[in-house]
Amino acid sequence: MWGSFRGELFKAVRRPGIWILIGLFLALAILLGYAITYLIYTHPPAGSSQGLPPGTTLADFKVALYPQNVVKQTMSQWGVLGGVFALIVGVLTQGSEYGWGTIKTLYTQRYGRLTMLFGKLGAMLVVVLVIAISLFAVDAACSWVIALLDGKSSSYPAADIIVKAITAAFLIFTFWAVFGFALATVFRQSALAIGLGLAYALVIELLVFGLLSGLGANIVRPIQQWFPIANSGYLAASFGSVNFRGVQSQPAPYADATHAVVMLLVYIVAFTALSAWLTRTRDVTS
Amino acid sequence: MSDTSVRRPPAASVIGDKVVETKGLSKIYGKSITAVDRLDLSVYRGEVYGFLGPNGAGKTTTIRMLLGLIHPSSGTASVMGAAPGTPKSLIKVGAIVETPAFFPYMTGRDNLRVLAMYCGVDMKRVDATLEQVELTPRANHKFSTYSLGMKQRLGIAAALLKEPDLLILDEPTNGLDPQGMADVRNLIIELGKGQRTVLISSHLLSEVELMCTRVGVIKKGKIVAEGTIDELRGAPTLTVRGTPSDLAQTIMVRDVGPENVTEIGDGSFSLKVDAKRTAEINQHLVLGGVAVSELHMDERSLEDIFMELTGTEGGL
Repeated sequence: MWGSFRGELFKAVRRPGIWILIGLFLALAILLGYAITYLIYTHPPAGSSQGLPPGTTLADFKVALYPQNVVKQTMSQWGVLGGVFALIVGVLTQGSEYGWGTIKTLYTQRYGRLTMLFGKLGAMLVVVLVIAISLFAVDAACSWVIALLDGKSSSYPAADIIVKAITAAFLIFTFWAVFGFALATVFRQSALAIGLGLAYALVIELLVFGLLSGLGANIVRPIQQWFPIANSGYLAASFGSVNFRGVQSQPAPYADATHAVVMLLVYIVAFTALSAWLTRTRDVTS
Repeated sequence: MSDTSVRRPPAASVIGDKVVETKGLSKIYGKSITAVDRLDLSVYRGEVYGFLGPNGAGKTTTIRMLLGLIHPSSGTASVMGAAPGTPKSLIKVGAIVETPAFFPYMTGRDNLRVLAMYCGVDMKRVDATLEQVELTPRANHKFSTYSLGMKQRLGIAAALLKEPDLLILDEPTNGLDPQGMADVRNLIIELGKGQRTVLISSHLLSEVELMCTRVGVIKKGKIVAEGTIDELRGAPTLTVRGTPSDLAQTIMVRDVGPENVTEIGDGSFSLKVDAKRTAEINQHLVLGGVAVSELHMDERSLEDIFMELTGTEGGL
């Protein structure tokens, strides 16, 4: 499997699409997470304090951008949305092979199909890990710059919390990447897999539970706890949210981190098994 | 004729162990589409075996089954002594299946480097194979910028990377211009020398005629003929026309026997006879009082045989 893993990593490193995706993700993390937010907080538009707790201004929210809150800020902003980028990585990793017809080239080299699959998944996880680590690195750098501009403390959370957060982000992103990989395997192409994956990530689960919310939280939330976006959210929320004068910026999650981790692992195993079964049994006719 | 099955073993000079063997190999799609129908195929070490057939005859499906890309519906196959698609088989086989497929964003060299990692072969093989297919000057250009001919040559380089004992090439000259076809053909002839076995599928008869030591003709998923090209052609015939035709027939029957004389109409006869006897037969006819107006040897072309066997002009 080592040869397959090396080959896949070699391909990923040389693939412009992967770098463009990572670059875009990090650019969004800088712009939306810090640069634009900081500009709005420092130059609040007229009337922007309406709806805020009494005595609170937008400038008070700048605390979220300082280094001590980098984990909470990153997880709350990208813990779920970052999964969309990981989903695309997963789809590209597998779907392009069908599009280019290279699946037949790879399957006729040396290894069995499952060895190839796990080599491919291994290389994909390296890319996902790079995304998770670089997201935190970029956010840490942005928060440091903002603390410098505002003359605030540049102390970061404890190393173990940062490592836990990176691991949690990696787990969430891994779920999305494996989900994208499975979709591309099922449909044997990228376009439909990305379309359906994005539809699920951005619309379907949220829309369904949004509509069901009319039934009442007591009915909906126990069902929702078994779905992946909800569990990504629980895990991200387990790192807490920034406290503005005693008011939590986000409601407490329905389930805890352990539940979220178990559910995400179940989904990862299930989608990997689906991909493996299809890879092993299907004919390659393209 | 289309139902006739003509199968001959390879010439003694090429008999080695079987590197490809299928028994009753079938592929059925759905309930009614039989792409390959109980195919029995044997390819021996050292052969350049031509797998001939019209479009849709089942050549590519068979090749995909030999490489483990398609699972057979029934029957068995062995490639290099192992089940198709297993590491034991694949490591000894180099293949091109239809159009060579590579990663468009990488250079030709990097594409081969990826495959070298997959195969576990020395990276030095990359440059050696690029040199072998004369692609070194374009090795650092992206695959997406390659012409069809260059893509095909890169495909052959990839197939050679493992220094395989068996090369399986599916339509290797597809889409090439005449010069490209000649280059690839010469390369394959060169590769087929020695102990390496080449299984090449094609619908281009002239190409097969030039390259292959033995051919199998497939029609509707079944082998309908197999042997060397000379064996498939059969003995040449002598066509004779003379008047009076009944006198000509009498003399010819006396000379070569009734079983070797066939009237083909219009006062003409076809004789199964050695070409060396042409002058002798002509002399007998003239001395016997026959005015000979036509006398020539006929040799069936591979095209004639192909059309006779497959009942089609497709792919010619």
